[in-house]
Amino acid sequence: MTETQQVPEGDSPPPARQTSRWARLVTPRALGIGSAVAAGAAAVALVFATQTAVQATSSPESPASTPIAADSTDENAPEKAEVIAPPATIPAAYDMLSGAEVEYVRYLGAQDPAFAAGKDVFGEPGLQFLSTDVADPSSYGDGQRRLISLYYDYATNELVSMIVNVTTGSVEDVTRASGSQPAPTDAETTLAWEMLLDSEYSQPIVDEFASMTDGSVLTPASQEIFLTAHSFTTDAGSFGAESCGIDRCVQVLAQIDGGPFLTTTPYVINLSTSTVLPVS
Amino acid sequence: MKRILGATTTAALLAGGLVLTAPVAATAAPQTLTEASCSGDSFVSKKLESGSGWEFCWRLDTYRGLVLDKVAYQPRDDAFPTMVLDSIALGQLNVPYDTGATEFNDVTTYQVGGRRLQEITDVDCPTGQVFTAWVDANRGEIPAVCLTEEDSGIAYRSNIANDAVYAAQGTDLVIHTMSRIGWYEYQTEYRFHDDGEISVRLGATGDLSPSDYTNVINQGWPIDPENEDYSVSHYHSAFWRVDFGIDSGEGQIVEKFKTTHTGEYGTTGDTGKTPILNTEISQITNEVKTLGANREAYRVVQPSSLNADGHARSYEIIVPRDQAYNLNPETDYDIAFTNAKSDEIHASYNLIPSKANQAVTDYIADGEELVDPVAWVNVGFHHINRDEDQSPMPIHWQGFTLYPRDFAAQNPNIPEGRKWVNGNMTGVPNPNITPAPTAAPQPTTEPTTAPTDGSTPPAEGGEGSTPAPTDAPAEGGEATPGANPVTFGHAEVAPGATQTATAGGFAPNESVTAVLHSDPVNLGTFQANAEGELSVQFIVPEGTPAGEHRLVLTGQTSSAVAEGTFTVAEASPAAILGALATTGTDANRWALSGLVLLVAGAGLAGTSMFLRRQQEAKAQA
Repeated sequence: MTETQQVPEGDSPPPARQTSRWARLVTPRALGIGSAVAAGAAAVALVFATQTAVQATSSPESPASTPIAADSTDENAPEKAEVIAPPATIPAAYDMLSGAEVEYVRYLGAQDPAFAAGKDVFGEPGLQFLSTDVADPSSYGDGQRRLISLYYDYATNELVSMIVNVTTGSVEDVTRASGSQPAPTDAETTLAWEMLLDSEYSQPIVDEFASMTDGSVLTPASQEIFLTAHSFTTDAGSFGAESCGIDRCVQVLAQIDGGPFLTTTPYVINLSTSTVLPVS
Repeated sequence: MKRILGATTTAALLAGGLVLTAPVAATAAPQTLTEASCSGDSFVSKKLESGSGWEFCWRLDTYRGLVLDKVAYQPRDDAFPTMVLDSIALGQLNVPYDTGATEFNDVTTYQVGGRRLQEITDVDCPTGQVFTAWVDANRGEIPAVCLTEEDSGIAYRSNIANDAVYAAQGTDLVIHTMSRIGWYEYQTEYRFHDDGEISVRLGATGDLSPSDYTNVINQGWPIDPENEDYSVSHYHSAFWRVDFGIDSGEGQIVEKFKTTHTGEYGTTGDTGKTPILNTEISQITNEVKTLGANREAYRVVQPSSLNADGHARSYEIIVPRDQAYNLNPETDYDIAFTNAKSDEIHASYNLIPSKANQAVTDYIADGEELVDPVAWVNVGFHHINRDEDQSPMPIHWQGFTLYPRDFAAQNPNIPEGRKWVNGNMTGVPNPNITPAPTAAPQPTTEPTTAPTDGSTPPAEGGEGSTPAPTDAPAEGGEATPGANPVTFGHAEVAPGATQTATAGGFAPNESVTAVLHSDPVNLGTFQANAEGELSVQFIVPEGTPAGEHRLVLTGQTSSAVAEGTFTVAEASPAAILGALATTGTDANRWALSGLVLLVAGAGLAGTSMFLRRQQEAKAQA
């Protein structure tokens, strides 16, 4: 097609044979195609650029986590399982926790004789599980993954720690001591709240709740209540709870939907002795 | 159709070629200590805009919340990151109310991590990257951590007359979590500046205590219109456990700076009574609690880790003055130093049974010799509540700074043109400025004696005349006789790309200046090793003309000289790509490839359009 085109006289000199071959290549269509090719390749390159940048700043989606029973006293607790398999991948020594290894480590802890010898917050056999964390990795040089589980033994009023090696699947150390009170668990918090509402000091709280909720009756099951609690040790201001610290005591904060807190801070629940103590 | 298929094939081949060549640009670097310690999202490695970078591992602890391990800093021109901290985390948060009726220890008795961790939302992390992490049994994994590079304002500014305004904006790498504890919410934040500084802080927001009101005027502040509701004043004492690990080595020591007035005064200055101060440095050899006085400071030094000037790397701990709640043994210090022990984790009410319920006061009781220092930093904040602090309470911050001292021999983000400044440069001309030759003075005096006949005119170059300019040197310049040879990493390098040079024959550990000729460009001052050998890496300055250039390395003590020539290539697109490949990321390379192709495509399209129009014009004619 190009060859048949007439070149008007007086324009550029007629192309020589060699240039005519070149001219055959440099047609608007060829250039258009070249431009499209370049644009296509540019698009591909830019997509790669974006992907590379994205990969540099984000990581692949983690598999969805499966929540596990929070307390060792729960029905489906890892402590009560027949068997729990080791996690598919063992995290590196300084990695964040994975749910699978926590579940496995809680199961392993429950197989240690120290677990069954203890008593939980309800007075039943088995230590009360509190928490699992990464055991200080800088004190081990072998790169193996170790977690530390804390339990409370209501039989002896002691805090119990277990160092569990996830890599080898073994409990390496069990240590116990009195006088140290980590934050309470959900089960301990709920029990403390039930004990407070069941105590002789409950009436002002029940009345306060009724006045704030248009006459609703406060029960331990009241859905409007959001509980937070902290372990309580005796301080200078807390007359009446002198054994808290050696005993395991809890102070409950009860927040009603929408904000206001019920007046619960004048009371402390001693879970070790199952008593409610007024403090002031 | 065939052509279209052909074009598609070309595009695919072109793209395929890029796919194959791209990974070639990435060179396998040796694994760092941080990288060897953690994996996946727990491993953070980030080069900031300045070119300096940080690495660390993070995890979430049920009680302490965000824990960072193996924190390392990489100054821009260093080949590898250098360790700074083995670990840093909250150690306790003590909140006593001024009425004496209430006191909380949030880390151990409430938890800052675990069930207290809040889900990170867009408002918490508007521009950063959100990491999901397992937090507690009930919720499993939630978005819990925010990582952002944030602007930090002016990083440095120095207006050098007739040279340049050397100025840059800085950025910080910031990692944070949010925890809700009762009515308070706390932001735990670590801010890693691009110059090596670390800001550690805790922000408190949420709501004032709903149950702590008093009628004792001096123990609270009225926040209601009737002046009846005195919201109780209280302290927040935040404790951090800072386990130093400078350059991963053993043998770190703690030093105290104490600056005192000699009792004498200088005679110059506006007042005529400028006090003369002495700063004495003493070693803290044993575990101890300190409460800093005015003009006292502490640092942790690694004597075996030296910067390029031969100075020991250290970090100073800068704490606010007079903020400690010095009324209880648990809180009556600014900084306490103990040896790192795996069962001394909490600053008070320790939860590890072998040291059950102990506090820093117990840890230091045996006064052990310090061999692996941990600093317990306590920052107090007395909160006398304000009207403004009612719900939702504006966030208020408390924290401290870890300040690098001699971690790098110069500003770690130093601009090329200031690298020659290292020490007292009085009398040293600025190598960036080529002095314009001034005309020699003309003889002003008449000859005292009349020239006698037949006398010869003074020879050229005689007194009072300017020396004749010698022939302009070749681009590479003249070689110095007796100079040692320089070996280059590349025979030919584009402007902006990295070149390496190796030479020997210098005095052990001496400073060596590197100057590129013929227009002298100072590339910086480097340090020879113990064998007197030097290996330097520098960026060929943009704008260096193509051709042969001579690198001259001069020992500052021995005056030994080494020199050699290499070729600077034209700044071709290929060379630019190559330069980016050595200095930038794969993403840069891809992006630039894309841009070059786009420009090429636009050029082709433009030519195509031009030809079409020309043909149409011809057809009409």
